Amino acid sequence: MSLEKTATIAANPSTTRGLSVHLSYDPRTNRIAYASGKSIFLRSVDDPSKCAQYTRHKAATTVATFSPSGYYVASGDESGIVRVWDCASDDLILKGEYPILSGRINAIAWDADSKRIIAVGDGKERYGHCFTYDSGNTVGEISGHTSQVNAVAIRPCRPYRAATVSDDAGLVFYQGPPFKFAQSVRGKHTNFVRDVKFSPSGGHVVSVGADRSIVLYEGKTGQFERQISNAHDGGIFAVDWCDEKSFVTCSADSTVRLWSVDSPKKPEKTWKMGSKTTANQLLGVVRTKDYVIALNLSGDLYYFDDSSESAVKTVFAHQKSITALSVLADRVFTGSYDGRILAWDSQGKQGKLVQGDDAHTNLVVGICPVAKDRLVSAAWDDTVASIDASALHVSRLASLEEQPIQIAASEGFFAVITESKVAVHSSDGKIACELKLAFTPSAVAISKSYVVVSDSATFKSHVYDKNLKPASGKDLKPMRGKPSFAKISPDENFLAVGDSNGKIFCYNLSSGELVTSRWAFHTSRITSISWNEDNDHVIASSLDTNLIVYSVSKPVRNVKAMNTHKEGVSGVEWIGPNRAVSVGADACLKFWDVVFK
Amino acid sequence: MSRSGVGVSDDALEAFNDLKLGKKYKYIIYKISDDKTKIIVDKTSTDPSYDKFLEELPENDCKYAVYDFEYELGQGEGKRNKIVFFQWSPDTASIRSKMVYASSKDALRRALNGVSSDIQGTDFSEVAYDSVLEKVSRGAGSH
Repeated sequence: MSLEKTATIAANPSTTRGLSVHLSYDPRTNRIAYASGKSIFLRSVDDPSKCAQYTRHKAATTVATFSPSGYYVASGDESGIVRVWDCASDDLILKGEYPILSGRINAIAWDADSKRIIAVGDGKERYGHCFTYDSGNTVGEISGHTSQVNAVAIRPCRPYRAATVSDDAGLVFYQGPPFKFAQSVRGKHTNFVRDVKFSPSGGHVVSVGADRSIVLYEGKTGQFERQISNAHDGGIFAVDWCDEKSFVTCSADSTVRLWSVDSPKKPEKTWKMGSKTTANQLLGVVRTKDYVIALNLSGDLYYFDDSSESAVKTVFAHQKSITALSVLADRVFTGSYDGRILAWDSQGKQGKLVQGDDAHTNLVVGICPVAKDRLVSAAWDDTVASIDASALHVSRLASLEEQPIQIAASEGFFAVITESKVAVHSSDGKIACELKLAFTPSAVAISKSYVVVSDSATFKSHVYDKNLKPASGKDLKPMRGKPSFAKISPDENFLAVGDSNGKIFCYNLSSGELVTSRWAFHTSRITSISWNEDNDHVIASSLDTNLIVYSVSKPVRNVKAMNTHKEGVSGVEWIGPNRAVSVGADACLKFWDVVFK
Repeated sequence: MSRSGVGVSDDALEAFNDLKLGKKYKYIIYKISDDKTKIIVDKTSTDPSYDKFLEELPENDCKYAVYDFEYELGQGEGKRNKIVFFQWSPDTASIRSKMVYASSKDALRRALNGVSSDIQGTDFSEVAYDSVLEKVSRGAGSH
């Protein structure tokens, strides 16, 4: 048997309100680099389903920048560490790890030789540092700011210059290398300055800020050239040059504007988002070969080009850890920590947003199919919603009195467990029957004729019939730890229950006897179990980041995939007899081919 | 050292010598006799499959076992054989049985000379091929 990864669907960039996001572009491979969660993603612009994931940061990542040569990426994190690694090979080998600051790294810039790096951010004793990429030797110092530095740029041709901008409303110009303070420009911006960039031939520098103005400087001397006030109706977050004479800016007013250096009175072009909402504040922009790509607060990437005023393409994905997974026919549905639900085709090429006025606002506990074209989901906003799989629309189905712990569904009805009870609902949301429990449940499973509820204190699973009457003669042996997930096989012969220590017990559901306790290879909480349609193989996911395929007929054989999702796998499902999909805390989807022997 | 007073039967030692010197068996499974006075041979086998051996370990009862573990060194350095001693006490076994097996282990273990590694198994992941291989190939003189 073997378990092979066939595809990874990347998470979208992490965003924080009021903080700009620096996206980096490599024209050689036509990829963008960005930070998300604790990972860095390198993602193809033309085919966003292709990506490379770098997972070696220990803290939440903040920024990633390609070297001009395209061979290396420098990435920074919240703890002030910069890692330089090889992005040309698939192994993503580390070149060097440098502790630069005591706080967040906000931006990183490379010089044109791909030899020197300036990393800036928030620290206690300094706000930035210049060093060589391979040995970390100091090649200058960043000084002259009194508050955290938001962005840095290095002139892409000789003589090298550098510019940094900061929350203190000033821009500092450096000469070098080694980079040394040359002059500071103050009094032009009146609020936080968010981004700075040199033009491709080094003729100009542009800075943008929260005061809605754009300031242009001469590239070699740093002399002030001109200012565009009120360039947007909201604070400006990012800027990128298209060519030597024009650049694009993005702003909290949900627009991207193209400006010309020669006629800066008004924008050459304005691209608009659908609506001007907080979620649509644009925090990052990057110019690629064919498109201008902008990032909004909810983490979606919008592609703009000359043909249209609105986005020609939108890339949706999760930003926060994925907590729920379901497969319906050949489609995959995922729900995340922030309440967002997405629908994917089974190849995972494209994610579509499931929308509606009653969309979840908090952690999605579970998504389960109840009919051929409909799913139900429960979330920590204490509601159960119905998802129309073809229209991709959510509507409220039921409100719960307590926070849901788990939801499970079978054809036409579903069960929800809360702190004190278990309730079976029909597919229209009405409660068919409910049972007050004497214990706190920790897992629920449902099939055509059974409902199984696990006790979090005695570790025992109780079997009920569909009307929640205890089924006779089914006294299941208690687990060794708190049951965390339960699943009944499609033919109702077996019940697999996983516990918080990583052990899985497989019971015979008709006799109530233990079939095997040999499925003990996970080392942490079981988060999900899925039965193959052959009623023999199960695939299980766990917090220990591993996926394991077990078999009922050959309980001593198993096949593992280690380190699949950083920070734990949260769900796994079969998509067909030989394919599976998994989701995890890194907000990624991964597809697997399973070969049985 | 507390002792349970359980002794080792001559058959048990003979079987071990057959495995070690005569290479007659692949593995031997021992158990404590029903009257709790002696460690006796439960089963011997020549089946080379390690999975088969794992299937012989019961889910709810303790056992001792000796397995003639064979592994490749890689890089064409050939094969090695190590005799491995297992104390199998699954989490799911009764407490009484786990106690008797733990306190009688020494009696059997000291009677067997030439065992290179000891494996204590409480669940199946601890006696899996990979776990045992790692332990065996790490030991002194393993290559």
